[in-house]
Parts: sequence; C-alpha cells; structure tokens
Amino acid sequence: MNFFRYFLRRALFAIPLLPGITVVAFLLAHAVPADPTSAHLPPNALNNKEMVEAFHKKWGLDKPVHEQYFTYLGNLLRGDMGVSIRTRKPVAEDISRLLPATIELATLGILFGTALGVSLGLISAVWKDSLLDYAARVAALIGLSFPVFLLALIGLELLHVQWGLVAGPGRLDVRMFPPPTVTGLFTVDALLDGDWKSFRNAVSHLMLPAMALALYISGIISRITRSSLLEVLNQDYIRTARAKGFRERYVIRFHSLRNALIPVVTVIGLSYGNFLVGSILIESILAWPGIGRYMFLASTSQDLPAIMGVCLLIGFISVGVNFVVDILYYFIDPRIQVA
Amino acid sequence: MSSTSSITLSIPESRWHSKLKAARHHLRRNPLVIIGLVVVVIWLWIMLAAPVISPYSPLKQSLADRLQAPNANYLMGTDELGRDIFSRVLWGAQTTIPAGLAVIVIGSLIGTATGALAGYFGGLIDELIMRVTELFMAFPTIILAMAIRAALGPDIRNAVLALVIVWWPSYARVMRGLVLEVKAQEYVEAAHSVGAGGPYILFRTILPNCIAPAVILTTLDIGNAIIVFASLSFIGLGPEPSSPEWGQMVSNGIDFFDQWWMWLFPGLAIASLVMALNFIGDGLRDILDPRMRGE
Repeated sequence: MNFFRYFLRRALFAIPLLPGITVVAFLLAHAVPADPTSAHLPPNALNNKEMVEAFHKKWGLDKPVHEQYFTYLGNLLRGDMGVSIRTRKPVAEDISRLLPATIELATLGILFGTALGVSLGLISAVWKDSLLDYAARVAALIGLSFPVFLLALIGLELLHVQWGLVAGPGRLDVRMFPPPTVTGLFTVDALLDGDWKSFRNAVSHLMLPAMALALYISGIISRITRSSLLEVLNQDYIRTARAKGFRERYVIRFHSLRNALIPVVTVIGLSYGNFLVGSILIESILAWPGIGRYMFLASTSQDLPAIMGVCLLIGFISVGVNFVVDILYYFIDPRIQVA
Repeated sequence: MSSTSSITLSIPESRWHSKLKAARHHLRRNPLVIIGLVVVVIWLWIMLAAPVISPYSPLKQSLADRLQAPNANYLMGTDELGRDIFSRVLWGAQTTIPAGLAVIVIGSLIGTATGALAGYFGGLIDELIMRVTELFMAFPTIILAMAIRAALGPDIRNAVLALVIVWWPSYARVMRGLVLEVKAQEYVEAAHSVGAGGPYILFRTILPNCIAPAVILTTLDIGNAIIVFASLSFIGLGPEPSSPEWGQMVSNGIDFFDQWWMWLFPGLAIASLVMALNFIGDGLRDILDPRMRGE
C-alpha cells in the first residue's frame, strides 16, 4: 500500500471521531441536572418571568437542543470554550496559559517512563524466570498497583522532605521569578535566556512529578515489552540467528528488539491520554500549575465549562496522538508497505 | 439437535481439562499468585468483618485524641478529628471493594451483551456499536468519568455509574472479537447445517464458548477498577466526604502532610489490594497464554 492511501485511510478513521467527541461533551454538559438559569441569575430575578425569558433568549436556551449544539460547535470553531465558573476567565485562555506546564511534565515523564519500562521489560524477558525477572516484574507491578497519587506523596516525603534530593511542589522556588515567556516551558525558556540558575531550579522541581509519572507509565510499558519480546524470541528466525552462531546480545539487539517494540509504540499511543491523566493527580498534589491541577480544581468546584473544555482538549489530543502513531507504523512495520 | 450439542460440548470440555491440569502445575511454580490469593482473601474477610473487628467506630470523633501518631491505642494513628485511622481503613474495604466489583460486573454485563450482538449480527448493528465504543474510548478513562460524575452530581452511585459508562466499551470490543472467532468455527457451521435457529446458535453454541475468556478478562480488570474508583474519590468525586473511603482519606491527609500516617495507611490499603489482584492476574495470564511461557 502506498503511503498516500494509507494516510488517507487512517485519516478517514480518525476524523469522524472529532465531531463525535464534541457531541459527547455537549450532551454531558446538557445532562447536568442543575439548570444554568438558577446558577447565574439572582434568586429574586428567578421569580421574574421576563428576566428568565430574556436570559434564555440571550444564551439561546430557548432553542431546540440540536440548534444549541450547532451554536456550541460554532463557538468551539472560533476557539470559544465558554467561561470558567471558578476563575471567571475564558476556558480557552486558562487552558492555553496552563498547557505548557503539563506538556513539560508529561513529556519528561513519558520519556523517563518509556526508558525505565523498556529496560525493565528487556531485563525480565532476557533473564526470564530468574531472580532478576521477578524483581523487574515486581517493580513494574508497583507502578501498576500503587495509585499515582500515593507514589507522588511517598516521593515527596522521601526525596524532598527526608533526603532533600529534589525540590518540592511548584515549578520554581518561591523567591525565583519565571524566565521570560517564549515557549512556556520553564526549562527551555531559562536556557533561551541563558539563565542557568533558573534552569537548574526548574529541572529540580520537575524531577519529582516526572518521576512519579514515569513509575506509573513504566509499569504498563515494561509488561508489554516483556511479553512482546518473549514472543519474538520464540520465533523461527530468532532460532535461525542463534543457530548461525550469533551472540545472544547481537540477536536481541539486531533481530528482536525492533520487532518487539512495535506493540510498545501502540501502547504508548493508546495510553497517551491516560498518561496525561496521571498528571492530573500528580499536579494536584505537587501544586504543578498545569491542566491537571486546573481539572482537579474545576471538578471540586463543579465548574462544568472548565471540565468540558479539558475533556474536549484531552479527547482531541488522544485522537491526534493515535493518528500519529498509526502513521508512524507505516515506517516502523514494513509489512504494511507490502500489504 | 442432540448431535450439535454433543459437538459443542466435547471440544471445550477437553480443552478446559488440560488447561486445569496446566493451571495446577503453574500455580505451584508461581508463588506470587499464592501470595496474591492470600492477601485478597484477607481483604475480603476484612470487608465482611469490619464492624466486628474494628476497635472504634469509623465516624466517632474524639478531639482530645486528634492527630496522634500510631500508638498502642490507635494502631495507625488518628486524623484531624480524632477518628481512628485503623478502623477507617478496615471500614473502607466496605466501600471500595463493592464499588470496584459493581463497576466490573455491570460494565461487563452491558459490554458483553452489546459486543455479542455486534459480533453475531454484524453489518449495520456492528458498525453502529463499534463506532460508539470508539467514541467512548477516545477519552482517557478518568477524564470521561470525571466529566460524567460532575454532570450527574455527588453520590457514590453516580461515581459507580460514571465508571460503568466508561468501562463497558472495552468489554464490548473484546466480546465482539471472541464471538467473531467462535462464529467461524466448524461446529457453529455444523449447527447451522442441521437447521438450528439463530437464538439457539447464539446462546447455545457461541456464547458458552466465549464466556470463560470474557469472565477471566474482566476478573483481571478489578484491580484497575478499584484504582480508578479510588482516584475519583481522591479528587473528591466519590462518596460523601465523611465516609471512610481510601482515596478520600489520602486526599484529606494531604492537608496534614507531616502527619504521614493519615495518607500513607489508606494509600497502602489500596496498593496492597490492587497489587495482590495484579499478582493473581499475572499468574492467570501466564497460565492462559501459552506464548508467555516460552516452552
């Protein structure tokens, strides 16, 4: 299959999901038992029929549901996600201000987590059924079984409070000023500014949340790596390679690893959204001012526009990442090009 | 009709016999499964016996004893209202375990039913159901559950309902795959050829051969459901604030971070239960998936 046809096929699969996501978000927002009228109008205005009607008319609440949906969709297309009840600012503005912090954390967490997970999985597949295998599998199970908020709390107590290895909550020490904003990623901005002190401080603050996220992610990834590598190592072509007298290290590195990593890439793509969500819980504990903490604060104060905004954003990101992974497949898995 | 049913029954039975034998063999080789089973049984016992074995009432406040570190009177210390953490952890099993089970049971019932319909009928019904599941699965689990729970309003039943809505699509997809696989088997064709009707084929020849793997897959998922439920209540979207629920207790403990016993013990309760469930799950997977054994 040539690349263009493959790309088109995957796009046809992914694109219909996007309006679907907006429908789900809209219906959820619509299903709220609390009537927005009573939430926004003062009590004495609620008795005034004309006031209520005017309010309905102003916000289009007198129109049928499907028309309301198209209004909502039109607003979304113009980048209008409504106004947050808690911060009283447009949700889109809040999100674009907070997103870089989450991207910084999630990127580093996913990098650490993938490195750790693939190494653990590799160790436990290569030395299968040894003590090393058991140790690596138990380590992976800790990542899977400990709620990520507990990992963050234990890390905070041990690494920060007890041993003082890393900085605590927040993105920078209180007495420090953020570097001039270019990308919104403090580490990158500090480097661009040539400010080593801020850079070191930002990295130190980034370590704890990134490691908590990495532990959680590595649990999923090491499992997949182990099982997929074990499967590949049982293939005939591996036996052939061994029979030719190649060293085991060579066989694993050049004959097995690339094939074994195909499912790992899938899982990273499929779980990317869940990894972002892992950061919700971590951010809320470690005062990391990102999307996760925003979602946490929104959900504790029933701030529906903000919740729907984040929900929509993360749904879109998940679909986008899955699409990119599908496209990457074309280059990773040569079988697609032949088929 | 008797000929078809003997065909359907003879194949799976012999297969399950040999699997059972292999299972015994693997159980002996896999100590983690045994540890997991023991821990899960202990937690189930705690869940049932909490009212009898907990030294204090989980709600009883005693402000004179507030924020005590673990000691002989209060094994896991007390919280900011002087409530006994140990008793609250024991009682917490009564909230979290049934909630996790409810999510799995209801979610798998809905999921397997829709998945079976999709797989069996195919065509438009299949398309429709699969597109809906894709839509739900486009959202990360907790995000969608948070949104649904926020829309439904505060109540533990709404938290469970939100999780069920998020949970069923993956089961539907698994069940559809299983049904499609079984549908292509010769014994189903044999049933067709002797003139068996649609419902008979679906309920007597196809479903019995899909149920076992579906049940096992859902069992493996309980730990996951418990973690997500605990996370929801950690965020404050679980049962009402005073009730002893593990995720909620951890979240409450954060405000008293230096009193580490307030967040550590309920957190470890979740971790120990889920870890035990995962030990069992891993063992089961090794037993069921011959590729993993590398033999």
